[in-house]
Amino acid sequence: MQDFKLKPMKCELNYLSKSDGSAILSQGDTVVLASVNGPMDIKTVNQSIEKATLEVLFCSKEGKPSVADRYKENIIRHTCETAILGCLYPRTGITLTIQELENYGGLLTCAVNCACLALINSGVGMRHAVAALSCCVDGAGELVLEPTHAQATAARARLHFVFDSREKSLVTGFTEGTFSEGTYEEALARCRAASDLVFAFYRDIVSNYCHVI
Amino acid sequence: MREVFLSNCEKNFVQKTIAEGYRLDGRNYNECRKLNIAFGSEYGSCIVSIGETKVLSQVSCEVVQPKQIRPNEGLLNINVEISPMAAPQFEANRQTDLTVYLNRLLEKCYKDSKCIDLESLCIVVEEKVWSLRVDLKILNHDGNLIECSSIATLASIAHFKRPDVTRSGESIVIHTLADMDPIPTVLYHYPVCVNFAIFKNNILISDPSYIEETVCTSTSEDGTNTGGLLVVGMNQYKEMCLLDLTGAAIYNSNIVHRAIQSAAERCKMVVDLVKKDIMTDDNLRQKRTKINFADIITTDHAQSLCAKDLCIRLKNFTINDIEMEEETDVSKSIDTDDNTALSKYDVPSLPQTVELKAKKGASTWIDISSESDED
Repeated sequence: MQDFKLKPMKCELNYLSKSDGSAILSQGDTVVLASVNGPMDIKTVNQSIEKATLEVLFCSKEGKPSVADRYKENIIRHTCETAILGCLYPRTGITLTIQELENYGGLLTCAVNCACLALINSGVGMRHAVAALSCCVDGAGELVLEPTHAQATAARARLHFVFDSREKSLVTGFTEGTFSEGTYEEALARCRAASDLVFAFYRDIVSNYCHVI
Repeated sequence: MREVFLSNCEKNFVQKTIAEGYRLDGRNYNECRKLNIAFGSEYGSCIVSIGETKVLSQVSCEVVQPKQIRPNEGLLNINVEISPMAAPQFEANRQTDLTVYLNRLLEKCYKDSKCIDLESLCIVVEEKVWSLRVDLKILNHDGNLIECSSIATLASIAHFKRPDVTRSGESIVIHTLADMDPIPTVLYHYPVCVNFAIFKNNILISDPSYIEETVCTSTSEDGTNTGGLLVVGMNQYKEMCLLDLTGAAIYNSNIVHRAIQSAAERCKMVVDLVKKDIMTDDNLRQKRTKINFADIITTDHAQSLCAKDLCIRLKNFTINDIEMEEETDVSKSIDTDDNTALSKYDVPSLPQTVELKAKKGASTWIDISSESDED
């Protein structure tokens, strides 16, 4: 079994006092802050009679909001909607706000992981936890797991996968660039194996404060 | 979601305790919460926290055409955004009164006071100037947003360095950070806004927390409004840049004089701290130490959920009063804000706090026979 090394991860939960759940996560040099509020009251037009409505807001650090932010919000919303047990909270809304603090590559994967930790912290019922990992295909055709910023910008293709914690099945996959089917399969297998490390990290962080409650 | 309603008993309690000379979290009238400034890896980014109130600020620049009426001056734009992260009652992308209030005060303090040398931002007169844009994001709203935002603006503008520009004949070259050292912004003076809460037209409280702010601007039992918020903007030379009053009219100008005296001291202290932090950060960067927002991740908040951070700190608390401690723990669950850091005493064994509660039995408020509580 290959020995995978992910970027060093640091996390703090309960960072914001006014939010129901919050997490600040750093993966390598990329830092993201996420806050969850809910389940709470929302306008009748947005309510769904059978489940909770998840609203995601992604804020980049500088400049005006752009379409790139909407794209990220969309991905995070679809990923988290499968994870949250929305059927437990009908006609309510859950707001997830994500703030980018530092971006040195792997921003979206860091955001997904941070969002998952914030959701765990907030106590919203979840079906499973999610972990995001990324791979890139460099100029020589080699696969690199968790690339650095320099490697990712120079890469020919970037593949990101999100797995769930129970069956390690694929929840979300998004890719950029050109690659062969074999590369895709291999990247998928590698990321799936490495997701164990991310889930172990989640367990570590949560057990830190859970044993005190 | 609508804001959590302030109950009458909360309001009356806070007004009574303040009238008697105490504050809920144990501070004096002129004591402020702990101020912390953390810089990020990019120039011009910082997170300022006063107690639990946190504001993120990022300065960015780009080359644009100057205004027609001021062809040799650069542009400065300050923008405050409050997202649902700050508190659940705020909606995404919606400008509330609070946002407008913050934007206008920061504009008055930093643009109208002319503290930044905008002429140094000019590259080519009438054609190209630097446009500085300060984006403030409120991360957590626990009161005193204006002070936190103004310190964040000041710290990030003072920390920011713009790329160097050289002219060679007709062409202009903008150098990258790797090429040539970037240039810091020129600040003539360092203004800071200080916030005071006025209770019953007489009592002046500095650095009000969320509940103190809400109470002082609300109407009292007899329907009158005798409180308000006074914002004083001053620089380190004790020159006033801004004066703003929200709420009830002041009957006595004495209050304003007192506030200005208090603000002068606080502003000098804050500006000294900002300058010191920027110098420390500069030294670290020269030694090529990596600075990153990841450094603000600590284990301080790991136990926030188990009532370590009391938001009510009574003056006559002793470490032996375990019963009193339980009462305030129960009352803490009613109140939703958290206050950290300065504890007058230290809760000795945290993991056992919950067990202690169970062993001690019923709280002293409820009269139940002791047998029924044995689980």
